[in-house]
Amino acid sequence: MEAREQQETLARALAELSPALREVVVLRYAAGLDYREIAEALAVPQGSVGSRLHRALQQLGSLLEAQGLNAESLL
Amino acid sequence: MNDHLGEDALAYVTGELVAQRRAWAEAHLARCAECSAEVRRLRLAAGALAGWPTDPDIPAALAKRIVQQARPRESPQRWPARWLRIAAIVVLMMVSAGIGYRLGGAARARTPAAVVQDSLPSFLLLLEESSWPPVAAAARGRAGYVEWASAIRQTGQFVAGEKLTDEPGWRILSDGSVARPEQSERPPNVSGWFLVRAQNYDAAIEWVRRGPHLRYGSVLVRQVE
Repeated sequence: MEAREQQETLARALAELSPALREVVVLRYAAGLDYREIAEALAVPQGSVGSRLHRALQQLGSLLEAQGLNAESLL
Repeated sequence: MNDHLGEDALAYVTGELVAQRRAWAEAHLARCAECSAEVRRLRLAAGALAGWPTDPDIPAALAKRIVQQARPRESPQRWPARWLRIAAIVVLMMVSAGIGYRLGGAARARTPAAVVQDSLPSFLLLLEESSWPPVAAAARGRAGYVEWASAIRQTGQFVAGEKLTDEPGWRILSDGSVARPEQSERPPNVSGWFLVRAQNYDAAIEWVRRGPHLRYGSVLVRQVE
């Protein structure tokens, strides 16, 4: 799978997450904030940032796998 | 002690698990197919996200800077609250429109005009209300705003924009406490936001003057770094 195709697969998978989960993913990986900064920006405890991120990545991983992506196919 | 990795699985994948727990996790993974599959999925997701290119459509640096600025510095009076309000809007923008925009952008080829406009600076237009609760969308007519957005879009200078709900939202104060924005504030509150491209402040202000919002309140224009 080409890099561009991978990005589109990722974007599609992200779009399937609930807003609350997508939010933490965007803040962590697109904005590069740490847990404390995310907790501050969303006014939630750091613990729930951790568990949301965990759930978000679980779901993303399953969605990406279902699209035929695996760790080796990533550049 | 948990039988499985549970929430430690993500810390294991990102290498943030303390050595002792890490050794336990590795021993556990060798004999637990369920946790191994979980780690494989998390690794796949984390790997894909790590390769997420920095896209000017997602003003990540802006969000980071704003959240940093939201922390109290020398003068903890009015600015931190305002920056937090903007930070909340930026978060909303990235989540609701940013990714949607990326998706749309990936699916359709960009017009040459849009490519040219990408090189222009971005401006955040915060639509402030002169009274609160705001004049209902039905009474002011949404069409004016939609026309305004499409006029900007036609020039390739519209990035994103959205109306906010009519409830006042929350303000997180610098001590971490949460308060309702007060109705007596000047300006009272924001009802929406636009992110547009423009040559400079004058051009961004011109976009504001061409829209309907000044009939209902003021607009704060800020350049995105």
